[in-house]
Amino acid sequence: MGETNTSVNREAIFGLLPVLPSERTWNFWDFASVNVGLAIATWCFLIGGTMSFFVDLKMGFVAALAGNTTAILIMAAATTLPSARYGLDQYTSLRSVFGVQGSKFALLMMVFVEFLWCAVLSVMFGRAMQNIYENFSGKSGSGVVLLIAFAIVAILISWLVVWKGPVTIRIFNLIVAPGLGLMMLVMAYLLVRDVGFSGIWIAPPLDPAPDAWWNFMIAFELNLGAGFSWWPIMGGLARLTRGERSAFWPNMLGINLAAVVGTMIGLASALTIGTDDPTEWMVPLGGPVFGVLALLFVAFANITSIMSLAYSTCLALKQVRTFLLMDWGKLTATFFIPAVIIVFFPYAVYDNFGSFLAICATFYGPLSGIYFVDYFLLRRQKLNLRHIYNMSPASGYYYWGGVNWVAVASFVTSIPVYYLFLDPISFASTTPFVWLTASLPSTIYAMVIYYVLMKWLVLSKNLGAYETGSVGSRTEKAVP
Amino acid sequence: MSSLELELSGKTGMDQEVEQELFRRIAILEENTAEREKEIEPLKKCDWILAAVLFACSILLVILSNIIFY
Repeated sequence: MGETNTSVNREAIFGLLPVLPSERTWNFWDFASVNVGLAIATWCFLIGGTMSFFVDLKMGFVAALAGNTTAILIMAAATTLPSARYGLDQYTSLRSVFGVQGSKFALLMMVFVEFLWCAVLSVMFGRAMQNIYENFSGKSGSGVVLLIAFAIVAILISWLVVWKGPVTIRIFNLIVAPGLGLMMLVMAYLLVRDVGFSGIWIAPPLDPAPDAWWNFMIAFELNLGAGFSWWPIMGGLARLTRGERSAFWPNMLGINLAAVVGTMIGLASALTIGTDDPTEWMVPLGGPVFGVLALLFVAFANITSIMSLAYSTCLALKQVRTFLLMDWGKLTATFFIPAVIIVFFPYAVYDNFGSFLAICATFYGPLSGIYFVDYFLLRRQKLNLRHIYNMSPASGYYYWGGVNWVAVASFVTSIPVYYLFLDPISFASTTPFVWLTASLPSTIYAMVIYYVLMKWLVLSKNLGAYETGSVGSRTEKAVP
Repeated sequence: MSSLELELSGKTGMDQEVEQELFRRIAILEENTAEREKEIEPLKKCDWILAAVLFACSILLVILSNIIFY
């Protein structure tokens, strides 16, 4: 019996069951350290490097801070607050939006993207370790085989930590996150020491378009996309926090401010040294010992990000019956298999990072908006746990055949709205883009159309259990 | 059998053992709403005001950048 309780208690942490208040393991600073560990990875430097083509440091800072803050406020409110209040994984609470079966639609889309993110981060780890090896051995051009081998090592380490669960993730981040913060300061110091602050400040962008304001809006748009792209994973992490403040505000410290600092380092190095990749300049600037230590931290920054991402995604995969019944160790191993395959094509991954990020922006903004409207405006932050877990037509969240087609239609039609303003691959834009961005109009469109259609087609027909206090058969048990 | 079990038993897509644990958790959360709100404190009004201010400042920052630098 004790053993059964232990396994079921583990399932609650690892699975779809609501986490009880007494089981929440992360306070504000725990989640902040997880957030910082998640935020600081080579992707910050890559985003900074992409921005260097368009803006200088001053405008890059404005674009990064404004873009990340705007997007993360919406994304974090929509995802972390419901998960913190009810202890639910995000894809479980999404059943209230997309329907008890329709939530799998969002899940499917998200999982594919997360495979790619894992692969990207693993390849970046591989590059960092490859650079360390080449600096130590004096051999350059060690080849793609070594890079792939190191990328697979990253996946293996990540899997071992994720397998052990959120407590291990928290401990790992508590150790690594402060080191990452320190490393960022040291990187900034090395750049300022060797290049000079005035040199960094006045360095022009590398290849800007003639319209300076357009360049700025592209940088702003990239950071809106970066902020929204946290949508798939933050809810799954926030369910372990001890309160809504602990769930919400650490995002401002971690995936906002820490990410902005990392982005600025990538931007500054790209503007002045010609590369955003710290693995290429840390040893020349920092010397062999210090440079290698710093590189190791940067490499492990990617590991902490992979871990949090994988944990949240594997939790979400429990929505699918095959994975629901699967042991956590096997599930997490299964998740990493596609990433292992993708890392065998490391340059395809690395060279298309900018487009990948931009494409993510086309759908995570609208998803954040739809979730925000449903939870705050239509449901007034009230979810019914009985409906959430009832997969039958008797569930208030069954809608039509288990799917809220209004949510699906609102989301699907918002994607071409993005393209009305900006092509995320070629960056070809229309005139309104320079005043409105592309993410914000598509997100606002999704919010408005969802709200209007829900009022017209769903609430008017008493679908979706939106009535205040209505919980199916027990009208007095709305769970606020 | 409680009303919760009557309502959800066999409809969750989970194994019986996990389902029983689910019922236990939902019952705890439904019975102790006031306690739960003390333990899982919601955001206060000042949090929402701060979030709104940050959002507005971000947009304002972009507008001011256009006015000052471009």
